[in-house]
Amino acid sequence: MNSSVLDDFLSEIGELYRFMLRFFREGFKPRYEFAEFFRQCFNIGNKTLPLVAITGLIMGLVITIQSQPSLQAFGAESWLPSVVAVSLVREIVPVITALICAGKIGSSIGAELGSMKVTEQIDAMEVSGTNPFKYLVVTRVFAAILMIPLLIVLSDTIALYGAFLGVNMKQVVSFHLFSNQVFESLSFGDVLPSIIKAFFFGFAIGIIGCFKGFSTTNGTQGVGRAANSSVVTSIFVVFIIDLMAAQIADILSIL
Amino acid sequence: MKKQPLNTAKLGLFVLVATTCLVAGLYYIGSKKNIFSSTIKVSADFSNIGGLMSGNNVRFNGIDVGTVSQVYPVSDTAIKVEFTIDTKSIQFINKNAIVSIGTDGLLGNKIINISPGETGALPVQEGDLLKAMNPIQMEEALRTLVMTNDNLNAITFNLKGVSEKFNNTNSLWRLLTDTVVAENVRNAVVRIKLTSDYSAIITGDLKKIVQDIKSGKGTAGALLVDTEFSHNLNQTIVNIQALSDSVAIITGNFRNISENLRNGNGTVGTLLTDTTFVHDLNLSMENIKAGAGNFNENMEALKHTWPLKRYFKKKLNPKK
Repeated sequence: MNSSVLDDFLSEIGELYRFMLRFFREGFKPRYEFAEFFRQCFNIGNKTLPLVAITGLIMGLVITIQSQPSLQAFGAESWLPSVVAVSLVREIVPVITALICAGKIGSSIGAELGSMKVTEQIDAMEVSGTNPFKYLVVTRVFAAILMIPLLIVLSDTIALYGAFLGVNMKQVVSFHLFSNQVFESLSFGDVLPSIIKAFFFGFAIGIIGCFKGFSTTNGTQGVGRAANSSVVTSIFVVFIIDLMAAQIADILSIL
Repeated sequence: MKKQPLNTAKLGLFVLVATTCLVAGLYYIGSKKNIFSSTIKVSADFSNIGGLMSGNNVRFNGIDVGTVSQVYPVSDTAIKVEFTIDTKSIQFINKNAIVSIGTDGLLGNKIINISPGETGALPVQEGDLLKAMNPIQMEEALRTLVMTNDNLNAITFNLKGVSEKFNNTNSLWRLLTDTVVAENVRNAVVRIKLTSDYSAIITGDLKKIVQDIKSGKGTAGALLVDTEFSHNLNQTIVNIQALSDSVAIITGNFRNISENLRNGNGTVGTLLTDTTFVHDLNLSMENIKAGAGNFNENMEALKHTWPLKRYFKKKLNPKK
């Protein structure tokens, strides 16, 4: 039993790896599906923005409110904008946004492709001469790769505004001073790693959603399982990527 | 498919806004680190930089003007710190400016402070080596502070003793509160002032006298200035000396005489020193006294005897 679970796990990793290779093989070959790509961008970018924006605002506000007492204990309340900005931009906003996207985009991609797979629409596409992998997978994965960093940037902006509101709940800090302190404390070493890792988050969420949808079996039940497992797996992978990104940034001493 | 153009516009807006945010954020971060402004690079050598590292701010009179670009050792006692200065600020920073390492706030990052040197020097240029003032070593400062505290402690202890003595003795307070003393002191001061006024006048007079004397006026002047007079005076003094020599000889004779007297030599000496002689003399004087008494008695008896009796009667009663 144990060996079969391990076997399943390893074979799934192997299949995911082959799926990724196929994506790289087909993704850069001509006949690009631009219309579908933009539609997916709209789905992933615009439609996720409200959720991401509200989450970002709340995160900024909450982190600020939570950090206030411990900074107050040191008498370093004036450092609140700097501290909050660094923690938000470096870690909290990218990861929270990626998790939200994993939940929303991963599940929708997994469910959509899964239902197409079980209703044999993918096979029908192949018959009609359209490359289903190019049309369905490549467009979605590229859309996720490009949109999630932009979502994270917007979420950063909104979270910093939330932090500004949070700082002003206990003290009076002008927006000018706040932004000065924030940009004073931030460096390229804070922003760029978080943007770079956002591309990997996007890739992971897109490719896992597509892989789970493409490998759906067992009919309608399988669609639910595909959606579920794509969310769980992509969340897990997001954390693993975050860990690796932190390690690599530390090794390269991009501080 | 009908909604496609609208969706694309919305997507475009989304991408545009997000990209603008990213670019603006990166620009602001870069501008804070002086990445986009033109800068010059200067350096300073420190013996200890206390944790300064590249990327730390450089301040001129408290304004951010650049960042530390490189820190590396050049010898066993010198650390070279290279830093950039914004070209907008270099006209105010002279070649003799002093560079020191400080801290941004109590717990903050290390920063480089540039203080202006004396005016008159040229503005800094690319590659200049500025004069460094080494940071205050906290440990050193504390050690000195401990010594200062000890000294202060001893001083305050002594002061305490002094003030206690003040409190316990009344004499000083009495002196301080006594109005009579104050009045006396005031009077004394007035008198001192008067005296000094008089002495000023006297000094003036003296000055005049001295001047007169110098110019040979009056006796003293003649004394000091007239050469003939001084010659006479000299002669006089010689005579006086001869006189005093004679006096000395006479005194010596007198001394001899008095010694002889004391020793009983000569008549007067015998008279003064021989006690037997004095006794005899006394005896003789008493005999003479007795003899004179007897003589008086004889003479009285003679008055009442003939032929002198008549004369004395006549003398007592001249009318008879």
